[in-house]
Amino acid sequence: MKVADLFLRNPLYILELSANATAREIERQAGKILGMMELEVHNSTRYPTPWGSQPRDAADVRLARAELRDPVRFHFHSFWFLEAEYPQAPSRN
Amino acid sequence: MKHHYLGIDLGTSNSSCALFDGTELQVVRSERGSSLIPSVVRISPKGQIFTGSRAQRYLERDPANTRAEFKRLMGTEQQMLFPASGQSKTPTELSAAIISSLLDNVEQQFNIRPTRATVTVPALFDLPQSNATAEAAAMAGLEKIELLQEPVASALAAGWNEESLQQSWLVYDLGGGTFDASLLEFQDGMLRVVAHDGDNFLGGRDFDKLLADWIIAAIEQEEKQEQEQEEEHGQKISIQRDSPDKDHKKAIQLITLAAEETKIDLSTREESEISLFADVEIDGQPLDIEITIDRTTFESLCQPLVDRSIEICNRLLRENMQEGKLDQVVLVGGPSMMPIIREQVASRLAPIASGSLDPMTLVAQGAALHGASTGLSTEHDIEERSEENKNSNKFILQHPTMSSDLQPVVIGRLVEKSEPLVTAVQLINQANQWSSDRIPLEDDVFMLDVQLQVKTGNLFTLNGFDKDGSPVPVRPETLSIVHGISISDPPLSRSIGVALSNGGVRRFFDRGTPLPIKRTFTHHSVDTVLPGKNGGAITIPVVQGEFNEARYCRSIGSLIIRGDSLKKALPTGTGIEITLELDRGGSLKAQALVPSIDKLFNGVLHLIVAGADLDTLRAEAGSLRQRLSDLQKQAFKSNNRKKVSRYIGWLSEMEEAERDIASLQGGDQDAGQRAGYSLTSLAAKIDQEETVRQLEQRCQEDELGILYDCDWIRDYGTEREKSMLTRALQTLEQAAKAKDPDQYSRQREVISKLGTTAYERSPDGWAGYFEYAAARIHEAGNLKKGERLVWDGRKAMEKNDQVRLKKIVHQLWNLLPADAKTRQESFDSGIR
Ligand SMILES: Nc1ncnc2c1ncn2[C@@H]1O[C@H](COP(=O)(O)OP(=O)(O)O)[C@@H](O)[C@H]1O
Ligand SMILES: [Mg+2]
Repeated sequence: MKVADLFLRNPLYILELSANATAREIERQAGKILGMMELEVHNSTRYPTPWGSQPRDAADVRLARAELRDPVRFHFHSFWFLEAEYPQAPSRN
Repeated sequence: MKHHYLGIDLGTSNSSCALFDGTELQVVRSERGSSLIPSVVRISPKGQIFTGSRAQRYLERDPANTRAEFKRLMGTEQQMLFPASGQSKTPTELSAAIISSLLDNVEQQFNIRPTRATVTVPALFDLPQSNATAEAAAMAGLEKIELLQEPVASALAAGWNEESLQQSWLVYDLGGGTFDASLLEFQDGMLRVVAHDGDNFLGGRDFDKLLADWIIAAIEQEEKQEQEQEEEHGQKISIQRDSPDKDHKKAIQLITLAAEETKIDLSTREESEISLFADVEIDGQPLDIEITIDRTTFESLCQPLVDRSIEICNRLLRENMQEGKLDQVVLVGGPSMMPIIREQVASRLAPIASGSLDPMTLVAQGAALHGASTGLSTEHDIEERSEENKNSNKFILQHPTMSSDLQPVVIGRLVEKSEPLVTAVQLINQANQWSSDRIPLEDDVFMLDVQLQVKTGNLFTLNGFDKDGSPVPVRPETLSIVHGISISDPPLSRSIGVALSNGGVRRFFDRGTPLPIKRTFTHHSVDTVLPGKNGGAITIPVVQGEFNEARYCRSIGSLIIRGDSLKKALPTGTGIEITLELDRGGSLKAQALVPSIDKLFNGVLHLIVAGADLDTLRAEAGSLRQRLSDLQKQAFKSNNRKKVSRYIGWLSEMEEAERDIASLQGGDQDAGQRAGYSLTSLAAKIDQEETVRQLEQRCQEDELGILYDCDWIRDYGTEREKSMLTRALQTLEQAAKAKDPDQYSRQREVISKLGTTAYERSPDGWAGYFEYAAARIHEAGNLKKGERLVWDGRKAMEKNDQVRLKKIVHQLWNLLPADAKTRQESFDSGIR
């Protein structure tokens, strides 16, 4: 793991969620992204971050979902999540 | 088009299966109407195979050619002989015969022969046992299967049948020979397995044994009284359990079978009569029994066994949840029909989930439901079958087949276009007449939230419209989603990676990673391998553990690229694409691709040793004993009394396992199984203890390094890096306190990366690296190139050309070998 990954690979970014996402939002969003990837929908394999867009694959999405399902891990990631610097709302809703 | 999902419970004593069609859940019956088939196989002298109740009858009459309880030997290579026909079969083959006859029953009743199914395995099954189960399913003609843990299946079925779902459940599964207790948590429609416990040697047959003993005592008593009355002085009858005598054996067997019948009878009646007239003579007297037993007497015999099962549940609860927080218990397995168990579980643990659940088929029902949640229907690509409408607009759809969310998302992509072109779609739920808005396609894609009807299958019709709003035909015409429980992907219990020659580890999968998963990383060889037998080899060790240093991890196997499999030399620095793949059941596959010669190397890895194979058990016991004695020495040294006494307890478990191994050598297969289980559980405890110890040791070793890192960051770090350091230090300290090696490693790495970044920013940073590498240049694989690089480096330093210096240092690093000791500690890894 690189230091930058704490920011760039933050599960909240990977799932394009904010730090106050609910359990239900996490499930829906992950399901949605996985579905889009399966259909090879344009841009579903990249996600925006304050430092530019990053690549993701289905394993990243499932891992992000598993991380955020665990309340302790969720807390950890929201701690490293820099909402103020988010460039714009997630691209797809 | 309706989908069907098949679930199979392959039990030790009985097997069953169930079919779910999205709405209705049906238990499959045999031609005699029974929902269970005994897991028994008989091979007749002519070689004909009988299964189920047709085989069970022969357990008594022809035990030599009839086999039961072979599930206990799954994953071993044990050959089971059927002397009359001269055949021998493995436990896997016998299980395949059972699955096959279950499939026959499905075909009989529903007119379909499924090729896909969900098959359940005990929670404590390890890798070889699960693999053997999958293999049995394949032998029986199933092309695709998913394995599911039995307690998860039970909970899924109970959740489906229950009106309101409670948060925490205990699944109490008492089978023929095993007891499993599992704690599950249910939240927001998601089911999660918290923990398991159990006893592989506690089950219905232990009740039979106790009752049989009681019957024998009763016979002897009666005999004695008769003799006294008639003033005879004949020999006293005495039936011996472990007697090698054929008649004694036969008598014991008959009495035990009668005991089982009586036990089952007493589940519904207050009193039962045991009568047995058999043509065996014990010590010259015929076996002739007629005794009555009432339920109270029987229950007083059973009490210790019931206590044992409840004690296991309490242990599981104590270790995993606050007292009094358990909401419900789901009862599974034949013996749980006994009133004493129902009463005591309810009064000593928690209320029993609704009484209407059938403990005998719950597992199969849950497996069928699980099929719906993973989309493993018995039918193949259904859309392809509908021939009509070939020339219409075709969509590929993505949606959950089972969803706990009442508003799941449906995504569709138009993949075949035809005139008139579809530009908008609408979905209508046939179950509740809910209808979506008309959604326009954007880049040929639509995405919409649909509304489900609770706890049932929902069939939606997909309607298409052209640009004028007129209906146009589309494919597929329908889609279905079941509302129900979802279960989270099973998490990986220990991180897995590849050891590198510099002592590090490339982590492929972190602990907690949801399975299945597959990852590929590219590494480079550190030695040249020449073609041929003596050309050397590249070893790629796969390790498991929570540390980033190979020596703190445990090797679980290696992939080896040998010279004798090469046609051409592989020079140092050859790129190797390593892929590790783990499936849902935890089975690991490893692969190395060498693109330069376009060759693929496969490896099979053994995660866990299991089964009753004498040699592996002996080896495992030997290594565990060694590890335990190391721990013991440490504990003595540090005068830690608590630990010393804990390890003494483990030592006696160890000794018991060793005794069992000795009995296995004498032919007692059950003892071998028992040894396998106790060694696995001991290994887990020792693992845990070692991890904690290594963490403590590591914290000490790291102190100085962290101090250096902090210095560098203080002097050369940016403000943000400094604040990151503060956070990381805090978390690191917490992790050390909480004994969480995973978190500790992560934070240590953050600090060291920050430190390295700062160091490299310092004016002499790269010069320092350069001098270190230059001092070892005589070790370089290519000395000439090395010396030239050193010379170039000195010039770059004179000119203060940092960029150039950096490049040279990297080249030097690639040239230098890892030092021998480090390499040995990383299991002779040949890659970087
Ligand atoms: N009504 C009953 N009352 C008590 N015990 C029963 C009853 N029905 C079956 N059993 C016992 O249940 C055991 C088999 O249980 P089962 O759940 O089928 O086991 P497994 O999961 O090991 O295949 C046998 O010991 C059998 O005697
Ligand atoms: Mg069972």
